[in-house]
Amino acid sequence: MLETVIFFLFAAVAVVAGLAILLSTNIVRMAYWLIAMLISVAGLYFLMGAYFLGVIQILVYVGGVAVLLVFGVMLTSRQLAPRLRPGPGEALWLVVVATVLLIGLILSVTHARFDQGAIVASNSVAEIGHSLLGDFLGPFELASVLLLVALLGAAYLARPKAPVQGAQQRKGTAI
Amino acid sequence: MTYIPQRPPVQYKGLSLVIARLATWLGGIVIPLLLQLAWPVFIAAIVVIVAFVWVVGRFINPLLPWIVRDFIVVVGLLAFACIVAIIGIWGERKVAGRIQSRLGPMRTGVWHGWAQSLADGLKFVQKEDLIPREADGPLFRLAPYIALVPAFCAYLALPFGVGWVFRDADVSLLFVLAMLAIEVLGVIMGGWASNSKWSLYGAMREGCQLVSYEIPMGLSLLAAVAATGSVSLVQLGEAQSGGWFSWLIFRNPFLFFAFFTYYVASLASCKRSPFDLPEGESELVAGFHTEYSGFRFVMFFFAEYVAMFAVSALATIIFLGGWHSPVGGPSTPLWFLIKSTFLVWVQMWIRWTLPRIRIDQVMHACVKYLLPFTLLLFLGSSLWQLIDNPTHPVFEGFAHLLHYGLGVIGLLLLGLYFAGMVYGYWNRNRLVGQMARKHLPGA
Repeated sequence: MLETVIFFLFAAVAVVAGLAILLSTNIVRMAYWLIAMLISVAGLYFLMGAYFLGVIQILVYVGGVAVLLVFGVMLTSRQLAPRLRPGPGEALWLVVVATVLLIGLILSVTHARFDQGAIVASNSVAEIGHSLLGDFLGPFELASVLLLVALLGAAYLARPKAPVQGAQQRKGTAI
Repeated sequence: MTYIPQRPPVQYKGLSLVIARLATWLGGIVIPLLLQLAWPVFIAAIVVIVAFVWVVGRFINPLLPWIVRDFIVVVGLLAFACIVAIIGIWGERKVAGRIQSRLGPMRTGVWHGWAQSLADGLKFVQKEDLIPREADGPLFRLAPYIALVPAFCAYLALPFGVGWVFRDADVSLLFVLAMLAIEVLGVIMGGWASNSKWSLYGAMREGCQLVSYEIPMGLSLLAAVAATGSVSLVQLGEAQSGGWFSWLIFRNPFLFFAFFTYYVASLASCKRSPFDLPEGESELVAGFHTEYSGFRFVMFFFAEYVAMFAVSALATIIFLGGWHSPVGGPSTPLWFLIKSTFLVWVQMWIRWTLPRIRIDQVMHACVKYLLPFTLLLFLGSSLWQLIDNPTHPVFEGFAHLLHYGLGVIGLLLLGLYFAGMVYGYWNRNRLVGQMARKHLPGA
């Protein structure tokens, strides 16, 4: 009874926050709605007994990613914020991507089997660690390499725009 | 002639009239009376609290359904957090006074101004709740709650002793860290929503400082976790029973330094000096809470002190033996409180001793020195697990030697501290002025 009430509480917050991310035009508000959604999803994880997952969700997404997101967004001007609306070209792309995602989501939901019993998931941190560095070592390492590549790419994109002396000369000769 | 906008006089009617009358009566009669009777009230409060706890534990607790029990415990934890903040604020001012050769609050209450925080709170409640016209209203109102509530939530998983914990989760250490990580969002939110340059600068500093210092903080704790093989705070504390030499801080040299790196990073994470850039009074008027007044400001202030105790409690549980006695006596929550309070006190001591450093120095110190150093400590502590293993008899003697050697170093540091204390007490007349000397103990 109480569990159901709490589930619907968290689920309602998650859905409302998700809608608010889409409908809000203020980019900082969007970031905070995203945080509200992440925390309520973490609450759902807690409710299901997946404490490790919920805690990691808060620690990584809220404490790390969301703080960086808000930090970056704060540097944008407040006067620009209300004009945050997609143009016609962007809207087309959005519709295409959203349709593909929606079809995938509907297919996965309709093909899911809800009649199976609860998965007996290992809740202990030790078991999760053993499986991460045992059975799933390959995907785990792949994910970390992917993250490293993303980090290097971000550092490359964010490098100082002022060209180095040699690069400037080459550009000059090319033109 | 300059135009000074004037507010219309406040008209009290209905509920506001009752509240105003009550406040006048409280402020005029009851509070002075209570202050006159400060000692009896203080002792009576302690007696009532102890009696309440005893009655609840002895008779009521077994009969209650769990939801009511949870409610009572949460209210108790909330009260504890508030008491921590109230005593912490008063203590901070007393420590500041002593370090700067003055008295600090002396008048409110009878004994050394102990009721100063209560009086301040009463004053703050009466203050006008100002919200700047150009501020982002909802976020501005929400921010103090986002700062205070997670800091309090950290206490839900914090064990005060075996069995003295609200929820003994398997991942309680990570839970506490996650809650402390949410707290920064409130600060950033308040700073941005204020729509003021000072606030925004404070919030930005807080953001970049916290994100970078979270990594050395987590890595230092990870070294201790790798040494015990558990992220449950109760198990981490229980792994250190015995005496002072079985505390994790003395287990190997890497953990010894990990304690200090954790402590430095925790100073940065709850914006304590020398990392109190987000509210640098000398350059940003009051940093992220420049625009806050009244009780919203109090909530930010409370959040800081509640978080201070939380990080000190983490350091106590993980490195300093938690609720275990250093000499092998009974393990009680009292030891936990004593050690945590000591660490909070050291935070205050550091604040009033060290000057504030610049933001580029903060980042430089973290990224170039603290982060590689903690990585090294983590690596070393992990490798030490191979050596500190009974199956390797070659290293056993060496490990024991280092184990006790580190303990002796720790004791020497503590002894040095006490020697300094005694020296300061002996030479107290050289430091303080005529007025302060009369109030010092032993005058």
